[in-house]
Amino acid sequence: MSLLPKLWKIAILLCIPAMVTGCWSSVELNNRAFVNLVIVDQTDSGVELTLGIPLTNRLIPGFTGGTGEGGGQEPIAYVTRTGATLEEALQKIQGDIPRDVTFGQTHSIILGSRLAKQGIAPILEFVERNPLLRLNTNLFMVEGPVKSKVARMPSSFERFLASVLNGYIRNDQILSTTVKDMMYSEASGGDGLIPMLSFKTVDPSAKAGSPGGVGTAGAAILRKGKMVTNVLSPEETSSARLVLGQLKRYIYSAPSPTDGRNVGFYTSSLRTEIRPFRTRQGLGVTISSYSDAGIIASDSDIDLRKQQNIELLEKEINRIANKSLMEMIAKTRKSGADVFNFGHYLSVQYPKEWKTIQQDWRAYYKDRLEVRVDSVISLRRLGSSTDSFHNKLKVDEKEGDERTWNLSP
Amino acid sequence: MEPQSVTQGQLFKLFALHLFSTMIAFMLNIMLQSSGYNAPAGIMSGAILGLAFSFISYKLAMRRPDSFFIDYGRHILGKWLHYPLLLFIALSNLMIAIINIWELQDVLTQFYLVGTPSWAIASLCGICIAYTVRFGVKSVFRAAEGLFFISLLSFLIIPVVVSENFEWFSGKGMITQFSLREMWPSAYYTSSVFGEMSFVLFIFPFLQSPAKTFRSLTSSMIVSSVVVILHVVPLLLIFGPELASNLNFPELELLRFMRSGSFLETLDPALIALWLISIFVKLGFIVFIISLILARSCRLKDTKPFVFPITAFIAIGSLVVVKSNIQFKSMMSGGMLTMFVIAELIPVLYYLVDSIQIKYASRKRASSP
Repeated sequence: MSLLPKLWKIAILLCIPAMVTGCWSSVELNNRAFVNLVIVDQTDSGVELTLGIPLTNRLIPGFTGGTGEGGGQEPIAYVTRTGATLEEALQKIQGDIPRDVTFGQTHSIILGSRLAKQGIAPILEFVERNPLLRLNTNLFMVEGPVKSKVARMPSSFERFLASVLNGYIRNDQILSTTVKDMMYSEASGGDGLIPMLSFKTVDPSAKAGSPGGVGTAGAAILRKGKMVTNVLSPEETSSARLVLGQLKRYIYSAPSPTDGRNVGFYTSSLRTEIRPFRTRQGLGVTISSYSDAGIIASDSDIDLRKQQNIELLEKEINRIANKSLMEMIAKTRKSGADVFNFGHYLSVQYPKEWKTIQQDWRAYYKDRLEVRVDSVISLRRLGSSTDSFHNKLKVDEKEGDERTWNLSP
Repeated sequence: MEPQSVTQGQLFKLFALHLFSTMIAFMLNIMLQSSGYNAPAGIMSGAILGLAFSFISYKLAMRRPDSFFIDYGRHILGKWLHYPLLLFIALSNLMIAIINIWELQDVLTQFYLVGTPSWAIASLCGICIAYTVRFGVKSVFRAAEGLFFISLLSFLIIPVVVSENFEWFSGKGMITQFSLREMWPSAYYTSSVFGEMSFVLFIFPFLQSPAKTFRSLTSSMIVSSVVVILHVVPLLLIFGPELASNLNFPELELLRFMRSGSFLETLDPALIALWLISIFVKLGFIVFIISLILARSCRLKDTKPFVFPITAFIAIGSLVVVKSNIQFKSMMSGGMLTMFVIAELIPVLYYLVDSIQIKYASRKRASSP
């Protein structure tokens, strides 16, 4: 008698797991196509959308040998369709592939320069509205038609281009711009820098004659979501990354103030501060960057044991840094694109004054904003040696050829 | 009914969960929209205001800590006023529950359970809530006690993992753009949520050492307002007020903003699951209050018979009352909040009338001999 209610209870308990909410509209993993790269470009016939989808059936290690070797199959498919709008192209792709397109794994969007010139607002809107796409999706740009370059790209370090791009971002090797950065403020919305990728450099491990692999290039300047003609060179992009606080480590050489020969430095950026200020003439911003530098090579005669020489070098590298920062900022100002969001800083610091200039902020940025840069690089490390090795060689030259290197005193 | 079965620790944990779970999950968007940089200050002052509501309610309850307000209230205002007012409180609680369930299923259908019909979500949530409440006040508070630390931890971890994206400079905006007028909408909104603590009046006979109740409420207020602020400020620092107010679920975007490629990136469903249960606890308390009002008004000893019908009503109501997000927002910015605030202020009326009566009675006693 008492067994029956118990059985009922057990039966009900067994039914409950079936009601676990996910089971209602579950989509099998096998039925999903995980997009790891979105490429959008403009062609004559409309918006061209390419989705990079890893092919799970070719992902098994051992079956795929990286690139093209011995007829190995690529573990990724690039599906391209063209439509009048982004949505239309997406619907065409979904209509043609047998799996459910899922954006949950998408971290990068590559834009074609032609599309960027027409405006990237539809893409930003698409990402913001789509619940699966994240606001920290990274944006990249490629000059010219993207699709053909990407599809031919061999890759040996990573299997997918998307992983290469993630690596660039993870290791701070490239300017990083997310969808959020482009939409951050209303006054300068759509102004920003988008890192460019180049497909010219040859992949270090590829065979001779194979097509170019991916590499980092400069950055495109966008104004109101549209790419302007001016482009930042790779060096200028590094300065821009310094302003954005993204440049962690940078290697360069500068002429020594004593004899004009090159000294190689590396700087580890500590932090960058952007501080608005107010003068009688109007508003301005000061960009102060603080970095530590070290010497990695020296061709110069300069005696690095003397404090005054170190100070001379510091002065020189600070001068160079300030100059390149100013040049880079002048370039963005010429385009009238507030790519560093200075408007946001001003609006936070001086809300009252900001209200008066908000309407034509871009024009103000272009012509009237006072920008000061103040780079503070302190030379802290000389590496493992003090004197230049070069100097020792010169001693040898003077004393005649019969003496070989003698490094001992 | 089990008198004095709820400890003060449980009370503190329930209200803390009660206050921060839905504030963070659903309400930040409206506050950022109306207050921008002043949202944190608004939340802080609203929380204090809400606590002030509950202080009066606590004062009233402490005069008769062992009996039910539902019973003695009629001696204060008379039954013709008392029962309609109780009904009004019950209805506003019902509305709060309906709104919360609607928001819950709105988030779930948009982000996680795409394609699942909303009636399925509403009924499953309803079953969970109904079962918690059915076993009485003790089980509601036990659930809160069990969940509190893990839920608090999950809410505290979010600001930490997104902190690398902070634009610290934006924090200055909270000082430079300070404005009482912009602050007020958030303060009002928050006070309507924190004022729900005044419903503690109904469960006084269940509490151990009732004199300490206000201390527990104050700690709940402090803990939950700090947690809420720890979520609003990151939103301001990462998205800025302009972008953040344009997001329908800013908190969810914040969660998903963690550094891409890290293992935490896909953690959001786990955190959402914890939200869900915290909200269940909140709704459990609300359903309990409603069923208690109905049961005591009908002179029933037990709340059990009311629990299922009320939960079913709430679940169905959530499917019927609100049709879309836009409609919901226009509803919340209008009279709905005032309705909640009025319901929370009803104990004040009782307190005033009761005080006058006591004074009158003592004067009468003093003058009679």
